[in-house]
Amino acid sequence: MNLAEDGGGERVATGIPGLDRMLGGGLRKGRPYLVTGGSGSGKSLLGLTFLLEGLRLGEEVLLVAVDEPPNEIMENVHAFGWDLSAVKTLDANPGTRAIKRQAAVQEIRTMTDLKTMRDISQETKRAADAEDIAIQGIQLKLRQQMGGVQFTRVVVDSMTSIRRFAVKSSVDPQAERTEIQSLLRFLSESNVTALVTATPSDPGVLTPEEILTRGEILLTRKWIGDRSLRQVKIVRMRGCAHDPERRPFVIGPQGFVVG
Amino acid sequence: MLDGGLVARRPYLIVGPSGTGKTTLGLQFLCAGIRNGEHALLVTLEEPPNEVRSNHPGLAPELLKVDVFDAIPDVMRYERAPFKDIAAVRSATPFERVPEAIRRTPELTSIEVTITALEQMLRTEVQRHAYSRIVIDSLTALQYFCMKGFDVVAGAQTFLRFLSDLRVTTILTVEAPLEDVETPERMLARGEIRLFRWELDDLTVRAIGVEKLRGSAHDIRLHPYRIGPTGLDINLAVTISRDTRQILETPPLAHEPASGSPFEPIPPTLQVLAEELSDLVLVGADIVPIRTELEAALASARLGDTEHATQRLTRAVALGATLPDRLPAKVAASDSEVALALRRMAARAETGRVGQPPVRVPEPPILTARLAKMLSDLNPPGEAVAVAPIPAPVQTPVPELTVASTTPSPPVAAAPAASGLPAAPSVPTHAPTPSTPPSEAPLTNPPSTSPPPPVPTPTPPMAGPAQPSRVSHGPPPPLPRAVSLPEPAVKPPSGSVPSQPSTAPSVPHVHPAPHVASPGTAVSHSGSPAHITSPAHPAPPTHSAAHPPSAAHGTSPGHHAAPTPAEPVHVPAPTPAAETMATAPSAAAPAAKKRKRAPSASRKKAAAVTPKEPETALPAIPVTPEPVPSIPLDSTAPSAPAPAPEVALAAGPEASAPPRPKRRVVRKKKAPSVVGATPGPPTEEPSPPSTAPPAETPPVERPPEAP
Repeated sequence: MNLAEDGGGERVATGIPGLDRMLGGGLRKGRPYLVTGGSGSGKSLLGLTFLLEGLRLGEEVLLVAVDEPPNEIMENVHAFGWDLSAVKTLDANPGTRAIKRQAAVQEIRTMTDLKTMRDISQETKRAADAEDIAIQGIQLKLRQQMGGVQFTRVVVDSMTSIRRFAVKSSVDPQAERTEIQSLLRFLSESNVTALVTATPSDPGVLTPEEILTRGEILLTRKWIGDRSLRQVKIVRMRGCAHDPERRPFVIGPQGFVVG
Repeated sequence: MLDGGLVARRPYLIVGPSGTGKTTLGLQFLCAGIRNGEHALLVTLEEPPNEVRSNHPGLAPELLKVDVFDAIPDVMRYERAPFKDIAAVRSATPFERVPEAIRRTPELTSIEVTITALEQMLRTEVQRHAYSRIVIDSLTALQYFCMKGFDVVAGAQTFLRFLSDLRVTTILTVEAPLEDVETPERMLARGEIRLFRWELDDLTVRAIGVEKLRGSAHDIRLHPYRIGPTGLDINLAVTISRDTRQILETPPLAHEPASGSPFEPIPPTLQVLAEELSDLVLVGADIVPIRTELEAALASARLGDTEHATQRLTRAVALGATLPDRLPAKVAASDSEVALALRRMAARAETGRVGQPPVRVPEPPILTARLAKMLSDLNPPGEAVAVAPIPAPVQTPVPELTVASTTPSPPVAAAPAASGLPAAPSVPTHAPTPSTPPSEAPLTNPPSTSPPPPVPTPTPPMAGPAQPSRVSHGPPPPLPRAVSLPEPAVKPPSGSVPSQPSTAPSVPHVHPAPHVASPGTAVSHSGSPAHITSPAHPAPPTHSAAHPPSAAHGTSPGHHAAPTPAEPVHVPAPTPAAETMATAPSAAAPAAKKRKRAPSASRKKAAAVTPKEPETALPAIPVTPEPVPSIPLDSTAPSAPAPAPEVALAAGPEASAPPRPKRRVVRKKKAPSVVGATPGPPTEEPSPPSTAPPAETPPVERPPEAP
C-alpha cells in the first residue's frame, strides 16, 4: 500500500511470504495480534507456521495449546514434514498445565471420576475457580519461564477455548476481561510478538481481545460448488500500511501459501 | 459535515468497529487544537503511547506536542501487592517525551486504573494545563477494564456527565461491534460520529456519518473515506446509501456552485495547491519541499503513472497545509496582501484536514500541462514574488469574472475550478485592479453568466492548457487595467500555450478599454468570434449567414482582421444576444463576448499588437510540448462546439484559438489546431446546442443591442 508510511519499528516475518507482503513486511514486533476464522479455516496452521519461522530464525517460541492436545498437533502437521519437537508447548488443557518439551507430550487426562450430584455442583464451582486461574496460570507460567528463556513469539490457540472452557459464565465478566487484558499486556511488555486465535464472535458482541490486539487477520472459507475457496484478509492493522483486499490461500503440501 | 465543527465544551462520541480510524480521527482533532495554540490531552486505554506515536508518523509535528496520559492498567499480579492510585503515580506527558519502549509494570507495585481515579486525574490535569481538547481512547476499554464493581452503563453515564461539567470539548471513542447495536452511552453524548466498515462482496467500504449533533445543523449523509498519512480523508462528493450501502451519485451539489460548469475543469487538489503556493510565495515561505513533490508528480504524470502522481500531489497538499504553521507570526497586524495571504492560509489549514475531498486528478495530458505551469510559475525565484501575485489574482479574478464573461474564454476552465476557492484570493489581490473594470465587465458578464454554463463545456477543456491562459485571461476580464498589468506578467509566464489566445484577447481588451464602455456590446460580437476562436468563428459562419463576418472568419482566419471590424458592427447586438441566449444561446453569447473583447474596437490596435504577441505565444506553445497537447484537448472541447456544426475543420479550431494573432501564423498553427480538431469531434455534443442557438439568437439579439 502506498499511503501510510511506517514509523519504523521492527517487523516480524510470519513465515508466509504472501502474508508478509500483505502486511507490508510483517507484523510489528512486540504486539499482540488476533487471528480469526471458523473452525477448519487454518488458524492453528497459521500460528504454527509463525512459530516455525521463529525457530528457523533461532528464536525462542511458545505454543499455548488449549484447543488440541499437543500430540495431535504434532501428528497433524506431519503431512507437511514439519518438526515441532523444538516448539515449547504449554499444554493448557484444563487440569494439566505444565510446560513440556513437545517430544515428551503425555496423553491428556480428560475425564474424572463420576461424582454425586452434590459433588458435581461443588466440582463446577471449583472448576470455575480453576479456570479463573487458567488465564492467570498462563501468565504466571510465562512469567516464571521468562526468567530463564526470553520468548519472542507466542501463539495462544485459542482464546475462544480459554474463555469457553476456562472461564465459565459464572465468573464475573469483568474479571475475565481484566485477565485477558493483563495477559496481553504482559506479553506486550515482555516484547513478545503474539498471535491469538479466536473463532469469530457473535457480531453483536465485542470481545476484549478484539479491543486489545493491534491487528486482526481474518481467514474465511466459502464453498463454490464442491470446492472450498479459502481467503485471507487483514481486517485492521495498526501502524502498518497493509493490503486491504481479500487474497486466496491454499493449505497444501508446502503449508500455508497465500496467492 | 458538522457545519463548521463541534460545539465547544461538550462530550462527543466517535463510534465504530475496530480498524476504522477512530483513534486517528481523535488524534487529528487534538492536532488541530495544537495548531490553534490550544492544549490537548489524549487519555489512552488501549494502545500504549509509544505505539500511538509510531503508528501515526504523518501527524508527527503536532502530535509530539499533544499530552498523553497512559491509563492502561498494569499487568495483574495474582498475589498481594500494594495497589496505588493511578492519579498519584502517573501524569500527562507530551508525546515527545514518551519513551520508545513500552512501559514496564514496576516490580513492586501494580497500578489499578479505576474510573474514579481517572476522573480525579482529569480534573487536576485540566486545571493544571488548561486543556481545551481531550480525547479518551476508548470509552469501551474504560468500561471493560476500569469499572470493576460498577454498573457499566451507569458508570458511562456518570463519566459523560463528569466530562460535560469539566467544560472541555471531549471526544470519546467507542468500539462498536460490527453489527449495529444501540448502546446506552450513545444517547448521552451531545453528538455522535459514526464510522462504518462494510464488506460488500470482496470490497471493503468505509464510510463516515454524523448521527447526531445537538445544537447544530449537520450533514446526515454517509460519505466514504480512506485513511491516509495525515488522517481521514473524506470524500464529500460521494454519498453512500444507508440501506443498500451502495454509492449514490451525488448531484453535483459540492462542485456545481463552485465551478459553474458541468465539467470539473480543475481538480480541487490542484486548485488548493495553486492557491496555497501563491500565498506561500507571497509570504515568503520555503516552498522547496512542495516544489520537489510537484516535480516528482510531474515526472510520473509524464510517464503516465497517474497513481503515483496523485500520491505526490497529496503529499504536496499535506506539506502545504503544514507550512503555514511554521511561519513566524509576523505581519499579523497590517492589511497588506501578506497579512491577507496569511489569514487565507490559516483558514485553509483549519478546514483543510476535515473537509478536503480526496485528490481528483485530471487526465494525464491536462495534469502534466498544469503541473508544468505551476512549476514554471514557481521556478523563477527572482520573479517568484512578481509572478506569484499575478497568477494568484489571475486565477481568482478569472473565476469571478470568468464565470460571467471569461468563462467562455478558453481559460475559463481554470476559472470554474478556481471559482470555488478563488473567491477568497481574488478578493485580496485582484479585487483592486479589476474592481473598476469589473463593474463594466460584470455587467456584460452577468448576462453571459447564465449562458456560460453551456459555454463552459467548451471552456473546461481549455482549462487544461488554460492555466497559462488563466493568467492571461485573468487579466482579460478586467479588460483594460488587467491588460496593462497582465500583459507583462502574462508574457513571461504565459509563454505557455493557452495564454496566447487569451493574451491576444486580453491585449485587445486593454486597448479596448474604451471599448468596454460602448463596445461592450459591439465588442462582444467581434470579440466572441475571436475568443471563441475556434468554436465561435466556425459556428457563426456555418450557422447563420446572418453573421457574414463570422463566416468570413471561419473561412480564413487571416482575413478576419478585416472582417472582425465589420463584425463588430453587426455585433452590437451580441451582448443582448448573450443575455437572451442565457440558456441555449449562452454558448453563442460567450463566444460573442470573447470576440468582442479581443477583436472589437481595439482589434486594429490589437491586430498590430496581437501579431507580435501571438508570435511569441506561438513559439511558446511549441516550446512546451506538454502544454500543447493539453491545448488540443482544451481546444477540442471549445472547438468542438463550434466545429461540430462545421464539421470541425482544422481551420475552425485554429481560428478559434488564436484567431487574430494567428492570422499570420495561422496556417502554421493549424497543425495544433488540427490536434484540437481531433478532440473536437468528441465535443460535438455540446456544440450542437451552441450552434443551433447561436444561429438563431445572435441575429435577434444583436438587433436589440445595437440600439
